[in-house]
Amino acid sequence: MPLERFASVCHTTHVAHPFHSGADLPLLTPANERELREVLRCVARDGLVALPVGSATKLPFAAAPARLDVLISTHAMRQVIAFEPGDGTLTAQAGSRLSTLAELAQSGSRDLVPRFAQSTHATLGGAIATGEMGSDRLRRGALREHVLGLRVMLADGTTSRSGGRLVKNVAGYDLHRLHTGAWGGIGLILEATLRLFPQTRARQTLSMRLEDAQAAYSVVRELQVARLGAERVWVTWLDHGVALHVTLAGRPDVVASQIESVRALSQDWQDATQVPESATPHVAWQALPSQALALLECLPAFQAQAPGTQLEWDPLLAQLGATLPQLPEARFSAFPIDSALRDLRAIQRPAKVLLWPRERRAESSARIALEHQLEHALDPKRIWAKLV
Amino acid sequence: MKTDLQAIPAGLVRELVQLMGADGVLIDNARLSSYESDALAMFHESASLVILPRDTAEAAAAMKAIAKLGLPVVARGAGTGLTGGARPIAGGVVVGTARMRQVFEVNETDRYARVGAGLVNVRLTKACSHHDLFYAPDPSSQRACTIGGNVANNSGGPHGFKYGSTTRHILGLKIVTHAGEILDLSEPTLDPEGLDLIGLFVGSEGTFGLATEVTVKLTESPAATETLQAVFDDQVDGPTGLDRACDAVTDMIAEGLEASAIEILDALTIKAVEDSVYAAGYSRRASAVLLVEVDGSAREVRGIADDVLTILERHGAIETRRAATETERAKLWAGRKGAFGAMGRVAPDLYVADAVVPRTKLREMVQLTVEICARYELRLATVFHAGDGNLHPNICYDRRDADETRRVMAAGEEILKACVAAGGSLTGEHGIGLEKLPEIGLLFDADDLCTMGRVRRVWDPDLRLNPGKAIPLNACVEIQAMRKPLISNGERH
Repeated sequence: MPLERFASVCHTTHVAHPFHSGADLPLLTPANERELREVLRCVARDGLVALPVGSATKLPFAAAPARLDVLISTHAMRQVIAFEPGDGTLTAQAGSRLSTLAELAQSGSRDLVPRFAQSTHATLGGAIATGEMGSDRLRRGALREHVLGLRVMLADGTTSRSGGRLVKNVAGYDLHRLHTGAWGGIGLILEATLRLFPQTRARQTLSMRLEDAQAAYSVVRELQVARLGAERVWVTWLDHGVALHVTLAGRPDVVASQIESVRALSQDWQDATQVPESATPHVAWQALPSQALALLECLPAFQAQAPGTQLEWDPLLAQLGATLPQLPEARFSAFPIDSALRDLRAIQRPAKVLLWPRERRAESSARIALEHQLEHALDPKRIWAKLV
Repeated sequence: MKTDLQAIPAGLVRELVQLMGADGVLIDNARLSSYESDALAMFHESASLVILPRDTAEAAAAMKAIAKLGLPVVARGAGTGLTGGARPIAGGVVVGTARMRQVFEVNETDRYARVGAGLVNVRLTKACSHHDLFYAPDPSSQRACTIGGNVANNSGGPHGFKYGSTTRHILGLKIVTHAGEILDLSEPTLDPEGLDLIGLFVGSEGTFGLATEVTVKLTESPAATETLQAVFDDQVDGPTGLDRACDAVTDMIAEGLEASAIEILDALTIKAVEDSVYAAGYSRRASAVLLVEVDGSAREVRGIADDVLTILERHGAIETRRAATETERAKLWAGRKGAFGAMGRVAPDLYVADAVVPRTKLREMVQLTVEICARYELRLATVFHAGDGNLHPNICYDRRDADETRRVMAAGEEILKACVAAGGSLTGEHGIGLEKLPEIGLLFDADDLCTMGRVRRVWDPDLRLNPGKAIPLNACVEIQAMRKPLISNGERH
């Protein structure tokens, strides 16, 4: 597609097709909302289909849309709008990098949660649009629970705001919940307010080797019964057997006490090794997703993954500044736990798995119809690519 | 869309009686009068008909029959709402969930329960407490309010400070749509596959559909709980006790103390409680009492409680006390949760505001509510979720006094405007309902409201579900005429 039609509107370049299903695509990077509005006007006028992208770190895990003509990047809109450590809130533009925001939060003794994968590349808008879950949701919950408010630009160039910058607020419909995890299919996120949490002062991980996933399941059940409030529980596959990792986080004295309690559960735990935070799979996962083999969030936030096929390295990521190696396709199921556990036990040795839903389960036609109606209401000309 | 009993065809009544039995269809004026208002007694309007389906299938069949006649429908739980959200505005049919109070399933392993929308909040925790689990959202009205009502309003409660409001605890819903179709989203899922319809539905105030079954997340009961009471008094030439209690809370938030609940009661509230059956042993000489609850492991509770006590002493609490027994703890909370009822001793009517302010501005905004009420010569009883910045400046009045009622409304509006101007919100847990609809333009501009309107029309194209509530029904052009937002929306101001 020729760039000329957009060149006078905003910064424009060509990148490889993110789903490898066509020629290179224009990547448009509006500098502000005025330019973005003009871009959308052109997209609508020409009957094109657009996809909002941050750093595109999650696209390898998304289903390819039926059609895609242009990519609209939020990278040039990355200002922090308000940081209120005393109130525990942070408002920033969608293109802000998560690592930048996490550092800012830390400067005010706050944590940005969940702990995101690819935080050095991934953007705030991208994390919200893709419904990022993070590795510490067992303790803090999913990202969508912490999005306090959003501003989005709709297909017709109008902006829409829901929620606010408060930790508690029920005025108006929670449209921010609708946009969280919508993969940009109903609007482009402009800015978001997140709830921050008190800074975690201590974090310790215990690791043990086990014969197989079945054994890991039994141990995870023990942890569940013991109600120790773990931040995350991981399983990684080894050449022989599996390793189970339990991370505990909070006040230093409490974490020390939790470690004692875990060790008291069994001789296996007594012999478990204490792993420095820098050596935990979580850190590896943040830096390099393909290193993380699987995540079992402790019950009930339990997830099991199945191995998938390898995807090709995505040239688009390089153009956007990301440096991912080969990434696997992934799928996971979350509920009910029993079936998730069956999935897990059926996995003898997954090659590489990641944490992203790729396919939807069969669902009621009423639900699907309602979703289509909502999409139509917010995007009547269907200018946004549908990845969900 | 005015309807009246005469407009309800006898055929519909017969059909509904056949569906739900005579007990499920209320048509006589005496019984209808119970549904004229919710806990906001200032506004009332008769329903033409009240129906009480027993399950989802009955509700769907009834809604289908009602849809054929195009009648407005108002969903109603226990009617404990404080914004007029559960009462009709122009006749029509009220669908009560009082007979849908089943506990279908409690799953200890996956920690969820599936219940009827009419189940009373506190009964849910009773149904799972033997598994050492509980349902976290605990509105003050939890002994009466229903889970379905909580879903409609995204209700909070004192422990929302730690556990969050209702929306964080809803895993699934079964919804009867405007046309009487059943939308089954009740399978508990950790993350939505597709658009988050449940997250959108929670807090929609009955304008998207009728929730008939709710799948809720259950939370582990904490190993240890400690409740602290701090007493503050007014000091000569110093800040008031209420000021210092607010400052203590602001410090707790700033220092990241993870308590489970932080509540403040002012002098008039304390007096009302102590004079009532809810007497909790709050110090009568206090100008403010601060209740702080901490839960978690024993060590965690001890550590946080010690830190809280340090802050309380720093801010000059004249007395701090740890509840020594479970009975004492329960009593302190009974006093807090009974405060609204106790205020009936002060005046026959109560205007309950639900404003939220940034937690860094607690003191100045509480001071402002005191000043506004003093200026209007009104009696103010403040009891609020301080940890969340959710103020409840309650104005005690007598609605038979027209002038006092006028002053109450004026003061209420002034308080809301001031809170929004300070970066706050009109409502933290009660919803917009009918009462705050005129003010919603302070928070959202025409584009915001038009977008919400578009979403509403997807769920309810004929705008028959709880008309006149939550957001304006008017066309966008009419919304444009509403007052200008006090807060900025990006490039627009």
